[in-house]
Amino acid sequence: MERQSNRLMALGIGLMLLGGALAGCRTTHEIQSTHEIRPIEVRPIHITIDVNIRVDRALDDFFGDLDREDPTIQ
Amino acid sequence: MKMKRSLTLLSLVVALGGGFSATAQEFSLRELQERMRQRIPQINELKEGGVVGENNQGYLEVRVERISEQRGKLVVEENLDRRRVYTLIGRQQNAPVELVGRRRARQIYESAAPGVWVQNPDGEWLRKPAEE
Repeated sequence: MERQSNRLMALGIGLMLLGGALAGCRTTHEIQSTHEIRPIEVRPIHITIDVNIRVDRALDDFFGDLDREDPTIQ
Repeated sequence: MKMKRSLTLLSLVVALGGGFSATAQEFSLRELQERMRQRIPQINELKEGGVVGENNQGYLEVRVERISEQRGKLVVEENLDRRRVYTLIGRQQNAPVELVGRRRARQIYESAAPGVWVQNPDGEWLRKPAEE
């Protein structure tokens, strides 16, 4: 009777140890990431560059010949 | 006195700003080009002598204390024509006349011959060094 009780106790302890061991092996990985998508305002910059290029081209068209005749412009 | 008169005329060129847009229609770009071409030798003499420099707004600026009335008038006429050109280009390209002037100033600053007075974008005047 006492032997059976000891066996049950040993079995209970064994199960507890096994449960503890399994619980110790469990890992939890939780990654929280927040992605905020902001609109990129490229249009005004693009327009400014575009205007500068167009103006530079128009200035080249007008002053190109004059500058070639002008020794103070290289 | 003469210097003051010239400077006053020069100031008018800058101060009147958009007021020249009305006169811009009086000359075509080709006419303005020809007028400026004829002025090149005289303007060069002033630039090479350090009498005038190229400012960062696309205009000539007197760099000496005294200048003759004739030379002052020449500078004013050149600046008026430049203003007319910038106005016409600004209209064509839908850009402010001041922007056109600054873009032209940038071109001149980068390509000016050694010894010519130029004003950098920060407003500092320097004579273009030989190595650039």
